[in-house]
Amino acid sequence: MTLKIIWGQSTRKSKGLTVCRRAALTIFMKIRLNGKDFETAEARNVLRLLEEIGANPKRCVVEHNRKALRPADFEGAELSEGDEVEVMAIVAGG
Amino acid sequence: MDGFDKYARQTALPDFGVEGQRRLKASRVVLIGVGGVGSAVLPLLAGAGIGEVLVVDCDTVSSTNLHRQTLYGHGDIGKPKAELACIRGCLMNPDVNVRSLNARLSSGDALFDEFVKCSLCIDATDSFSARMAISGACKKTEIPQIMASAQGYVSQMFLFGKGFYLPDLLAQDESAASEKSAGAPIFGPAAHLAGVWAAGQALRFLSGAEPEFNAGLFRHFDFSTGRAFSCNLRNG
Repeated sequence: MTLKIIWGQSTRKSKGLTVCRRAALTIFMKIRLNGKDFETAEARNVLRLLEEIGANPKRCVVEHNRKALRPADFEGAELSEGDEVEVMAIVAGG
Repeated sequence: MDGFDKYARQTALPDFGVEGQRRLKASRVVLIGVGGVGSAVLPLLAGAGIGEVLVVDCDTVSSTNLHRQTLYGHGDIGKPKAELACIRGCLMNPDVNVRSLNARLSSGDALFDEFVKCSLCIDATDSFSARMAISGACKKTEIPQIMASAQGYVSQMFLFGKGFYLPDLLAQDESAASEKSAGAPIFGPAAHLAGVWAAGQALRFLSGAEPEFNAGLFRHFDFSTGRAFSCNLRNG
C-alpha cells in the first residue's frame, strides 16, 4: 500500500508559497495488471478495476491470481496488494 | 493403406495413425464465415482430408478483404465467398466433399438443422450477434464448437461444449445486436493465427489424437506486445 497526499483543486500560489485549502490522504494499492505494475486508489474488486481501466465487463475474460473468473464473479473478487490480474477484451472480428 | 498414402506424413504423427485418418474421413464440419479466419481454416481442413466441410457465408469479396482473406484474389471481387471457398476447397483436395451455403444466420432453421448432422462447428464470423446465435444453436444441438476471432493485432480462440457456450460466458447486451466488427482494423496474421489454432484443435479432436474436447479453453495472443495467454474458463 502507498499513502499519497492528493492536493485539492483549490491549490494556489500565494506570495511564493503553495497554499492548499483541501488535501486528502489516499491509499493506493499496487497490483500487476497484464504483466505491468498498476496503482489504483479506487478499485477494491475486479469489477471496479474494469470500470477504472474502461474495460467492458460484459465482454472480457479476466484471470485473477491465475484463476479464471466469469463475469458473475467480478464483483466478489476482492483485490489485495500484489495481486496479479489479466484482462482481455473479447474480440469478434474475422 | 485405404488410399491414405498421400497423408503418410500426417498418419505418422504420434496419436494419429491410419485410424485417425479414418476418423477425419468420417467427420463432417460446419465452417461459418470464410473471411480472414476462415481463409486459414479451410485449406488446413481440406488438406488434412476431413470427410465433409459445409462452408457458410452470406458475404461477397471486397477489395479491403484481400490483405487477409487469402482464399481470394482481385478477380474475385464482388463474387460470393461461400461459393468461391467451396471451389477452392474442392480443388485443394478432391477427397473432401466441400459444400457451400450462401446464407445469413437469420435464415435460421435451415442452417441450424445442419448442425445436428455435424461433428463440430467452427465459428469464424465477424460480429457478436452472429457468434451468440451460432453458439446458442450449438448449445441446443449439443455439438462442440470452436470460436476463432481476431481484431487489431489480437487473435483469440474459445472451445465451447459440455454445456458451456458463449451465452454462458457473456451477458446478452443490447449493443450486441447492432455491433459489427466489419471495417475495424485487423492484422492479417492475427486472423490467420486464430484460424490455425481452430484448425489444429479441430484436427486433433476429430482424428482422436485429443479425444477429450477441452471445452472452456481460451487462447489469446497479441502481436503488438508478444503476450500470449491461455486458461480454462470452465474450471474457474
